[in-house]
Amino acid sequence: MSSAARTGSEPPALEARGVRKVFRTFERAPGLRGIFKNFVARDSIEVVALDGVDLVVQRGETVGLIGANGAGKTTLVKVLTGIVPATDGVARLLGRDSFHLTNDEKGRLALVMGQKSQLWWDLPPLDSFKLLKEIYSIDDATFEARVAEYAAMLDVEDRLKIQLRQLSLGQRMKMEIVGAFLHDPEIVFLDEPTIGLDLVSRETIRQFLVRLAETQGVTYVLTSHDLEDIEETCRRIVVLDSGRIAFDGDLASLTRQVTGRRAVEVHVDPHTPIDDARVRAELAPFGAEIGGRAAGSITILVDAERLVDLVPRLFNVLDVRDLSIDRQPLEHLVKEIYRRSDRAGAALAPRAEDGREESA
Amino acid sequence: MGSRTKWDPLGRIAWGLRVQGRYLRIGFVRKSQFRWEFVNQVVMDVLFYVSFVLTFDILYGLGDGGLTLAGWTYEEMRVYLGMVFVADSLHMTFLGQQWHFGNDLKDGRLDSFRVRPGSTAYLYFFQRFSPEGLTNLVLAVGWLVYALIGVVPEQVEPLSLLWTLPAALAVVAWSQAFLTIAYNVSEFWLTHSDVGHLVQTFVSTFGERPLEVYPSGLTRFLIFVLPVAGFGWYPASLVLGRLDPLFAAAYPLVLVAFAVGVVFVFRRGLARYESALG
Amino acid sequence: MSALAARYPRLLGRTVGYEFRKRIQFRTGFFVREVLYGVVEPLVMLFVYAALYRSADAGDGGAGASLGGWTFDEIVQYVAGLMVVRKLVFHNRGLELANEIFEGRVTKYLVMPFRFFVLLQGRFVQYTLLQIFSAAAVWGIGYAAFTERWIVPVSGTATIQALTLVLMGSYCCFLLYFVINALAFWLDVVWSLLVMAWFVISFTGGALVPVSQMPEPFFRVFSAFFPYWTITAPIELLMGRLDASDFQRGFLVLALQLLLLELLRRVVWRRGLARYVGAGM
Repeated sequence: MSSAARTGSEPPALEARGVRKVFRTFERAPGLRGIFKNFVARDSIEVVALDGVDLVVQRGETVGLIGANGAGKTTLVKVLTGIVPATDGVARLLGRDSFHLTNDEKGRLALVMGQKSQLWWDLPPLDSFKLLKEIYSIDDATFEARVAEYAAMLDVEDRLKIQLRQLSLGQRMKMEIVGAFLHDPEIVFLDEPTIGLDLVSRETIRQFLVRLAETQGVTYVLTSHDLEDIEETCRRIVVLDSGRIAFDGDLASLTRQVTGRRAVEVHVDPHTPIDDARVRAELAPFGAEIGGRAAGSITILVDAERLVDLVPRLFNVLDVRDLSIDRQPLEHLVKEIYRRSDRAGAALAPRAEDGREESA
Repeated sequence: MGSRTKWDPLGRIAWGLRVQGRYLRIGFVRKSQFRWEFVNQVVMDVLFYVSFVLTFDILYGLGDGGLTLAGWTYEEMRVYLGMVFVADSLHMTFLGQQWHFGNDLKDGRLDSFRVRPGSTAYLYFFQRFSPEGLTNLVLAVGWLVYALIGVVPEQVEPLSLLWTLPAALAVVAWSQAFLTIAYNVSEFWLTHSDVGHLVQTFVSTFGERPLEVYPSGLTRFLIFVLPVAGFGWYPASLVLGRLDPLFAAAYPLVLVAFAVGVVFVFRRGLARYESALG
Repeated sequence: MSALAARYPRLLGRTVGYEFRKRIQFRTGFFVREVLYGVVEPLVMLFVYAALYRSADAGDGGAGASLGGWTFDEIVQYVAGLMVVRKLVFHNRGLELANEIFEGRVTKYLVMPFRFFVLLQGRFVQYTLLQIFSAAAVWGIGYAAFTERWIVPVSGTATIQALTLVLMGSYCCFLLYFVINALAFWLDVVWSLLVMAWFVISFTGGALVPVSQMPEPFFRVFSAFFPYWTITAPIELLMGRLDASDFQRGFLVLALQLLLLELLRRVVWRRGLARYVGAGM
C-alpha cells in the first residue's frame, strides 16, 4: 500500500484517550509464617501501569516511546495492539477498539518484541517465515521477494536456513524484524528491538526502519532505553514516566529543553583527595554541578554550550588522568523532564495534537 | 473506521487448512531433529493402549465369559477402546500445546498470537503438530478396525459403517478439540492452577469408560453438560447401533452448542489475559 | 565427617521448608496438584467394578459374587485403600530435575558446599510429609462418610507394616524418577519416559486392577518387583489379606531394589555430570 493511500480522511493510526491499565497482584509476605498467611488470606494490591494516557499517532508517523523500567512503555504497546484490554479509557487502532480488531485490521499491524521471540526456536527462520506467509496469506512471489529484500537489507541473507537458536542475538532480532515486515504492515510496534545488541547490529536495524518508513510510509512505535535509537529513527518522542506521558513532542524540542546537558566524567588520581568545596566554587560560574562521585572519578553536569569553557578549568582544580563527555543519561533525562513538569504543573510542551500535525 | 472482515467461511477454512499444513511441515522438520523423542512418545502411547487393553482383558476374564460392563460386551468394549485411542492420538497429534497453556499464560506467551489475523485459540492450540501422534493415530485406527471386525456382521451391518464410522470419527475430532480448549479456559481465571489439567484428568478418565457405569446424574452430566460422551461413548454407540436414531441424529447439536459456549468463554477469558508485566 | 553428618539434617530441614514454600505459593494449584492428586482414578475404578459385579450376579447387585478371589465389598475396601496409598507414592512430576539439567540451573548448586542430592531428598521428604497429612484427611473423610464400607486397618502392626512398605516403595519410585530425569544429560526429552514409568508402575503395582486379582502368571512376575509391594500389598496388609510373612518378603524385595536403584542413581549421576555443559538449549 502506498504512503498516499494511507493518509487522507482516514482515522488516525493509533489513538489513546484517557487509557488506564491496572494490574492486580498479590503482596507476598516473606518467611514461612508469611507463606501460611498468604495461603489463608492474601493482600491484593493494584499496580497502575498506565494512568490516563492520551496519545494520537497519525499515519506515517514514527514515534519513539521512552521511559525508565516500569514506566508503562510495554503496557501501552500491549493495550494499543489489543493484546490486553485497557481498564479505563479508549484505545483504538485504525479507528477500531484495539481489543476487538478484525482479522483484516490485525493483518495491517505487526509487533516485534525484543525480549520474546515469535519465531520457532529450533527451526531455521525461513520455516517460520513460511508459516507467517500462510497466516498472512502472502502470495509466493511477494513472499520470496520480500524475504530476499529484507534479509539483504539486514545483512542476514546467508542465515535464513540456520536454526534460530544457532544465530547470534543480533541475527535473531534481525530475523524477527524480517518476519514482522513480511506482510507489509501499516503499523509496526517494536518493543526494545535493540536490547543487548552490538553497535553494528543496532545501526543496521535503525537504517532498515528509517528506509521502510521513508519508502513505504510505515507508521511505527519504537520503545527503547537507548536514546540514540530514537534519535536516529523517530521524528516524534513520547516520554512515559509512572504510566503518564511526561513529554510528547519532536526531537528538536526535547533536545532544546532538556538534552542540552552533558555529563563530564573526570578520572583522577585515586590517591589525591578531591577538595569538593574548591571544585564547587570553580564550577559555579559555569552553572555546572557535581552529578556523582566514585573512587577515582567525579561526574560533572553542565549545559552543552558552557562545555568548551569549563573543561580547561577542570585541569586547574583536579588531577585529571582522563575524561569523557557524554549526553546526560536517560534516567537523568526522564527525571529532569518530570522535575520540570511537576514544577510547571503539566508535562512539557508541546503535548497537544499541534505537534502531531507537524510531524505527520 | 477500519474495514470489516468479509464473511467468507470457505475462505477461512482454506486458510485454516493452509496454516495447519504449515504446522504439519514444521512438526515433521522438528521431529526429524529429535528422533529419540519420536520413538519415545510412540512407545509411551502404545504402553497406554496396552495397559488399557490388558486391564479390560483381565476384568472381562474374571467371569466365565458372560460378564458385561453395564451392558457392554467384551467385543463392544474393544470398539469403545478403539474410539478412546483415536481420540487420544488425535489429541496428541494436534493439541499437545495445551499442556503448556497455563505456563504460557503466566509468562505472557500468548502475545504474538493475539496480534495475528486469525483465531487466537486456533493458532495457539493447534500449533504443535506431532508426527508421533500421527503414528499413534494409525495404530489406534488399526485397533479400531480390528475391534470392528469382531462385531461385523453379527452386530453391525458393514454397509452402515460407511456413514457411521466417518461420522463417528468426525464427532471424536470435534469433541476432542473443543473439550481441550474448555479444560484450559479456567487458567484465565486461576492462573497456574492446573485446574484445567485436573478437570481434564477427571472427565477424560470418566469418558474412557462406558458412561452407563456411572450414576445416572453423572452420566447425564457427561453427555449433556461437559460432553466427554463425544469422544468415546457416543461414537462407539453410534457405530455399534446402540443409540435411538432420534438421539443419534440430535446429539451433535449438543456438541455444537457446547463449542459455541467454549468459544464465548474463551473470548471472555482473553479479556483477563494480562500478558507478563514488562 | 561428623560436622558433615551434623549439617545434613539441618540442610535437609531447610530444603524441606524451601520446597514446601514453593508448593503452596499458588493456592488453587496446591489443592489440585497436591491435595486432589490420586483420588479420581480409584473412583472411576469403583464404578467399573460395581458394573462388573452387578453383571456377575444380577440377583443381589453383585454383593455375593466373587471375581478372582475378591468380593465386591473387598474391592470397595481396596479402592478406598488405593485412594489413601496412591497419595503417598512419589509421583513422576515431583522432581523437575530434567528441566534443571536442560536449562543449566543445576550449575548454581554444584558450586555450593553440599551434595545436590540433598535438595532433591528435601523434595521427597516435603512431598511425603504433606501427603501423609493429605492421605490421613482422605481416610478420615472417607471413614466419616462410609464407615461400614471404608477400609479400616486390621491392626496397628498391619498399619505400621503397610506404611513401611509404601514409604520404601515411594522412595524406590523417587530413585527411579531421579535416574530417568538424570537421563536428560544424554537425551533431549525425558518426560515421556517418566509417563511410561508411571504407566508401568501403576499397572504392575495394582492401581488399575489389584495384582492378586490378575491371572497367576501376571501375579508371579509382578510380585517380584517393587510396584506391587508399594500399592497392592500394603492395601492387602491393611485389609488382613496378607500377613507378617508377606511383609517380611516385601521388605526384603523393596530393600534389595532400593539398594540397586541407589547404586544406579549414583552411577548415572556421576556419568551424567561428566557430560554436563552447564546450559541447555
